[in-house]
Amino acid sequence: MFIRTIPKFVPDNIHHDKEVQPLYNKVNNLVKDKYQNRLFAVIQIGNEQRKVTTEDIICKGDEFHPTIGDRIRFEKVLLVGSSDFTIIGRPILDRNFVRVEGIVIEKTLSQTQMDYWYAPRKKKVGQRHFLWRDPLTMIRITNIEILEPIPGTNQSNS
Amino acid sequence: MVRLLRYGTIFGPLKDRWRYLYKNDLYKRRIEAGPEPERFRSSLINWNYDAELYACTHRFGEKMNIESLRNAMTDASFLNQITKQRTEAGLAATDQTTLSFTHNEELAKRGEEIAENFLRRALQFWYPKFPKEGIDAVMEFLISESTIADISLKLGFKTLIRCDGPSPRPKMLKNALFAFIGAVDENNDRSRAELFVSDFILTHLVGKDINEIWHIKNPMGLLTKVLEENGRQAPESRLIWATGVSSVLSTYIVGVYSNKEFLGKSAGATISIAEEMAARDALRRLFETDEKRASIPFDKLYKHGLLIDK
Amino acid sequence: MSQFLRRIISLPIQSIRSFHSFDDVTPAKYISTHLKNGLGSRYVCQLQRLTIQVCKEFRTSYGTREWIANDLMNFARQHPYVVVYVQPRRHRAPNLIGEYLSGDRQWIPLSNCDRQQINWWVHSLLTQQGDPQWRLLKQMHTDSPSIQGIWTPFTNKPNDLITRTYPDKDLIEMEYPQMTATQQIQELFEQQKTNKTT
Repeated sequence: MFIRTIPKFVPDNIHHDKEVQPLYNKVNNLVKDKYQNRLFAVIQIGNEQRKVTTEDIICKGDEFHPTIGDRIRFEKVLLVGSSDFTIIGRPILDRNFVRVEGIVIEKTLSQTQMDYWYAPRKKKVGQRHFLWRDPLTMIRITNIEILEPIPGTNQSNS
Repeated sequence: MVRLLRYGTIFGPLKDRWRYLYKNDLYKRRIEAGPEPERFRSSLINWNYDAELYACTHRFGEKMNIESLRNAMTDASFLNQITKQRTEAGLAATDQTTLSFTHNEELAKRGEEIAENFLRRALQFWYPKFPKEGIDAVMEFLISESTIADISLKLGFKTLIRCDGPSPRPKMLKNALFAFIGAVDENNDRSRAELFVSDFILTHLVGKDINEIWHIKNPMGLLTKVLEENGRQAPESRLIWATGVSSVLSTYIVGVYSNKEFLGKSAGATISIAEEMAARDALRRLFETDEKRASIPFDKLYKHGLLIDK
Repeated sequence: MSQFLRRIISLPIQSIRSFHSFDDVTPAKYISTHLKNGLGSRYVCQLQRLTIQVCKEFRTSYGTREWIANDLMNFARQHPYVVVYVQPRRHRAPNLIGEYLSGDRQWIPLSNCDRQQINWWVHSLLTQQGDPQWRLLKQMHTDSPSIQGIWTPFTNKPNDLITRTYPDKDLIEMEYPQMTATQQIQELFEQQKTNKTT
């Protein structure tokens, strides 16, 4: 089941909206369920899009301001889904609709990388080697939840 | 990679022969001396036990008295050793008045009771359809000495425990962790201790399939039993797909149905294997413990309705 | 560009060096954490104790001395879960040793580092987990790789393929969305026929 979140004010889509309304209701009921299914999401982090579920770790390979123990909310959520449905944003989902949270668990350095440069003609400056280690940030996804019914449907407020 | 020595450089036994012989001799002597004996961490210069305990209370965010933490980290073997030393020195063996601390057996019992009670309630709450035998098996895995000792080791209790040897045995590690939970209960309230259990012991289930922890020998028999209890018809298995039947890589997909109602399906190399796995899949779906089930919300169990007194 | 700048403006080479030979490949592993850290209601800092070995006289530990005089108290107050030991040693190079909850140990030489660099290294040890240097095989770790099910050749395949008797007429016949070229030619041919007859 692929569903697009269609805003109400688009006049062309009203007829289409009526047809798809039962499908919306089905998904909204699934979301309301107490023993809800595992959710997954596609989030954007630093020009990278990643598919995540709860309890998994992602590695960001650059400098990152938050320190360990900081809880982060990912605001750019492109897609959220479970075993029975998938909701795709255009291009991102509403902030009030879905919440994806993570915690920074580790900030480390990569292995020592080496770059070697050699020019046989020159004296003294003929060879240089650079050593460096890249900063890495590990983020654990703690929570993915859908807060309200799909925006643009009968059950939603907006 | 980088050439560290220029070509034509002599190194090894031909250059500086005295140095080569000297290093060789040192190496042989080190081998003869054998491995270094294990030492107490407290025997090193940079060690302040009070500071370590103070840091330990802050590490887990528990406000507790340092004396009670000191008691929780004291093993029975440590007290035995002290009384032994005192008798050897000629002091009265039963003179406990001079010792300001006790060992952690009672606290450990208290902590174990809390942990067992909470874990059982949490599992029954989150997996309400999972049978009691299964929950018993998962509990046994979580409370087992190896699991608890591993958790205790990774929480850094190894250096904090006071015992007779430099490296504490698994039973001591287990006692220390449960005594810590008991001490949290003693200093704060019960819910705080239960939160500690859910944070550090219940999270051990992450990445593990609880259907595999509880090993079912005869899944088809159990499935018929469960269906009978629910008042449904006995399961029937049907072959859905089959490919490569006469080849080495044969695949059969078998589905299990009860009164033409789908229960579960699975693939296998032979029909019997596929049937057994399909029965397991059906059980997983019936118990609501399959892959698509949401994981336990460790920090929000109370919010979801698991009450403290029940 | 940023990576290139980082290579030029780098930290002291003693601190950055690795303790395996460059002739061998760096050992590799997947991302892992101890005890699923961060999952419950609390996060546990993995650094247990920090030892700063410093000389009071030598020039090599000038930055370390400055850091201890200015920043140490603030650091200890902000991070009460780390036990800090300062160990003065006469006429030797300054070192930084971090011991972690998992029992691992990190050692960093601090010779000729200034105050800012030492602050950087201390916080680097604080935010680490204590593992030795590894090459990461994957940039992510997950326990449930597929929520909607792994694809097999049998997923979404219509079940009525079994019940049919072959050869089946419905499967052979094709429904074309628009007129094909052969059909068009056939029609033209028939039109020509009718034209000729009239």
